[in-house]
Parts: sequence; C-alpha cells; structure tokens
Amino acid sequence: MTSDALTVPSELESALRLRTVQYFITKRPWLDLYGVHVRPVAPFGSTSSKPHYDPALIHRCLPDELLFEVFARMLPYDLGRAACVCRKWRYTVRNPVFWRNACLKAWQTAGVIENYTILQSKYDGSWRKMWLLRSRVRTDGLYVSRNTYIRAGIAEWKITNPVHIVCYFRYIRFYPSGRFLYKNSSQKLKDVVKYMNFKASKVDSVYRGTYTLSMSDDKIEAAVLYPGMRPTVLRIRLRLRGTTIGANNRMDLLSLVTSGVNDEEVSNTEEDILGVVENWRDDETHNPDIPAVSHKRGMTPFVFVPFEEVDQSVLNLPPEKMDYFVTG
Amino acid sequence: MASSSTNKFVLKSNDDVSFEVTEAVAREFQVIAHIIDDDCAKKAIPLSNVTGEILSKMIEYGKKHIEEAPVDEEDEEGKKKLQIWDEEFMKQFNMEIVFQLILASNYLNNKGLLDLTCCTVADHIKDMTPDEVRTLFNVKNDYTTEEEEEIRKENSWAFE
Repeated sequence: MTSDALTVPSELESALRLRTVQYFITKRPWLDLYGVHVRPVAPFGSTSSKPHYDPALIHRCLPDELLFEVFARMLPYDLGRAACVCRKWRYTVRNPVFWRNACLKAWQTAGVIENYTILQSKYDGSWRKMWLLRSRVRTDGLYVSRNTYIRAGIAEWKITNPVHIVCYFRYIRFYPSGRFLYKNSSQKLKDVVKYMNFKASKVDSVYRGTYTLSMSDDKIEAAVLYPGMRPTVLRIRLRLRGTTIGANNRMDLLSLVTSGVNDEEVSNTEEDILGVVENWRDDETHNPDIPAVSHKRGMTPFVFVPFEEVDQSVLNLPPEKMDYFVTG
Repeated sequence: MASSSTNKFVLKSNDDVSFEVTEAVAREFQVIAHIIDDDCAKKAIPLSNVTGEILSKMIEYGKKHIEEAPVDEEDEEGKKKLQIWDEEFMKQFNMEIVFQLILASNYLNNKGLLDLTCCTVADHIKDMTPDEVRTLFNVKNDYTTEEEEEIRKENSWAFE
C-alpha cells in the first residue's frame, strides 16, 4: 500500500504537466461550443410529431423496470449474451445490481465484507469488472479432464500384438457453498452428469469434498475423502484460467496426491476434509500402510462444459474419433 | 374476519367484465388486499389497467394457489404439484399475453405470478444466441457493425 501511495502523485503530476503543455500548443475550437446546448439533427423527412414505433412487442409492452425484472431471473452468462442483442438490453444489463448478486453468489465463501473490500481495492468499485477479472469457479456445469493411455493387448498366434487406447475422465462439479463432487470414471459425460449431485448413491462412486479458492490468485486447493477399509484422502491443486477474459473454463491440474488418514480424522471430517489436510506436507500420511503418492499420470487440463451443452459435447465421442482433442 | 372464506368481492376489469371472487382469492393480490383493508371494497373494485381476459387468468391462478397451497414448508409434494400446474398454466399463452400478465401482476402486486411470468420470458431468452433472440422477439439490431464486434468481444466470456 505504501508504495502505491508514493507512485500515484508523481504520475499525476507528470500527466498534469503534459496537459498544460498541450493547452498552449493545440487549438481546441470545440471549446467554443462549451455550454451551448446542441440537439441532434433529425434525419430528413422525419417529423417529431410521429411517435417512435418499436417493432419489438417486448419493448412496447414492458417498461424498463419490468424488463429488469425479467433479466433479474437470468444467470450471468445469459445476461452477457443478452447484452449483445440491442442497445436497450445492453443498457439494462449494465445495472450493477445484477453483477453484485452474481459476485456475492460466486464468491459467497469469502463473505460479504471481504468481497466489498476486494471490490474497492482491486476493481474500482465495479462489480462487473470483478465478475470478469477475478478468478472464480463455474458452478453451472462440469469440469472434465480427459485422459488416455495405451495398453498392450495380447493375441494368440499372431506376430503383432494389438494395443488398446484406454480413455478415462476426471469429473469435478463445484458448488458455490465450498463443497464439490469428484468422480474418476471411463463413463461418458452425458451419462455421468445425470447423477453428479449430492443425491448420488454409493454405487455411482461420486465422492464429496471441500475446496477453497485463493483470495489473491487463481489457485484452488481441494480434498476428497475415499471412505472404506483404508480411508484415503485425495488432495488436488488446481489453477483456474480461461480461453478468454472472464470465461474461467479451463483448469490446470497442478498436483494430485493420495495419502492415508487415520480413523480418528475420518470420523471428525464428515464435512470438511480440506480443513484436516490443510497444512500437510506433500509427502505426509497418517497411515503408515498408505504412503503419500504424488500422481503423475492423467494430468490433462480440465475443460468446462455447461449443463446445457453436455449432450452435444465432443467429450462424449469414442477415442477413435477424438485423436484431434486438445484442451486449448 | 371469521367469515373471510365466505366474503365475496367483485373485481371489474377495464372492459367492464365483472368477476366475483372469495376474499381469500382477492387477497392474493396485494393491492386488492389493501383496498379491502381500507374498507373501500363495498362496491365492485375497478381495475383500470387490466382487461377481462387477463383478469380471468389471474383469478384462475389465484384460486389454484389458494386451493392447492402447500400445507407447510416441508410439503415438497404439494410444492411440486403446484409447480407442474404453473408450467402447464403458462404453456397456453402466447408472448403478448405473457407480457400483459407481467404488467398486471406487477400492477396488482402478486409476487408469485410476477415471478412465474418473468421466468417464462427469461427461459425463452436464455441458451439462445443474440440473433435467435432478435428473431424471436422481433428486436431490431441497432448496433453498427463495429459496435457489435466490440460488444461481442466484451462479452465473449458468456459464449464459452
């Protein structure tokens, strides 16, 4: 903060000096119009007595505040697209109320006060700017990491052996509350999405965990507990990024560590497994039978697929049609 | 207020159609509830901004929500049933009627119906490209080519 306080005045000073110099050099005839009210010229043939007729029924029927009510019932992503429709919609969508609600929901685990502080200190008080520039996890779909490996097959009485491409996915679904679901499976996206929720039964092998998104950057710490005879914790470190500003539609898998937890920890951690492993070293384990393992395979970046695109996603295609797949 | 279930009130639309409703249904609409409370409901209550067609639909909605109101907060089944009815109810209308219903439910202050009608319009808008929305609602694209390019770039995050 102190360095900021020192640099700003000097920058301001030079900018001011520059403007004074320009004042002497540049002629600014438009200043003659200062204080004169200029009215836009009506196009030829139009008369002011003819009322403006909007072809859109929605504009003729609904006053602005009711258009606002409609928009208030849409998700931020729908609003972003709606802004591209026409000027009136763009103007309506600019209302900071939408973006404040979206932000407070997206970063609800940070708390309202913290969010206001960040808003003022980093985003000039603009909720929309914060929505676009601050890293956030998307909760309107699944993040999918598609991984393949080659397995040698065996064929009798043949000179050449076949090889198989094995394809499996890591699925993550985040919730704004700070919880998330994890599944590792060869099943296709469009099938998994049906039961990727908190109502999933045991046979679906959907595991529950908790995550935190760093306040200052784009790192996510997450942990999942595999219950069972040998309870194991999976610690996941991720980095959020996007193919465009504000998209947050990619995640790099930085590290993936499994290690043992003891029975006492398991019974205490129904809800917050991340809290238990928070300060563990990378090679730490609390069960000598299960050493900590840092996994190096299956680290393909996650791609985000919104719910409405799940059925058409290329990720559903079989491996032989996917040799071009790159995450970008 | 012992007789509130038998008390009848008459609502009159701007095209002179009258509807007799029970007090409970009338009270579904905040504005009318205030009129009743202020004891100004002796004669027919004139509603100058609502046509008979729209008012009849609103009363149908109000009646249903009184009769089939969920028993309490826990009554998931009752809520679900009402929700399905709401969806079916909205399916019968074209866009113009939906807009009229938004206006009228805002005017008579019925939160549930305003919510339902606005959501219906919102559902039409979401998951659509700007071009599809323009066609559906007959909205004129008043951006210049450069402006449109700029705004598409500005909102490119929403298309990913």
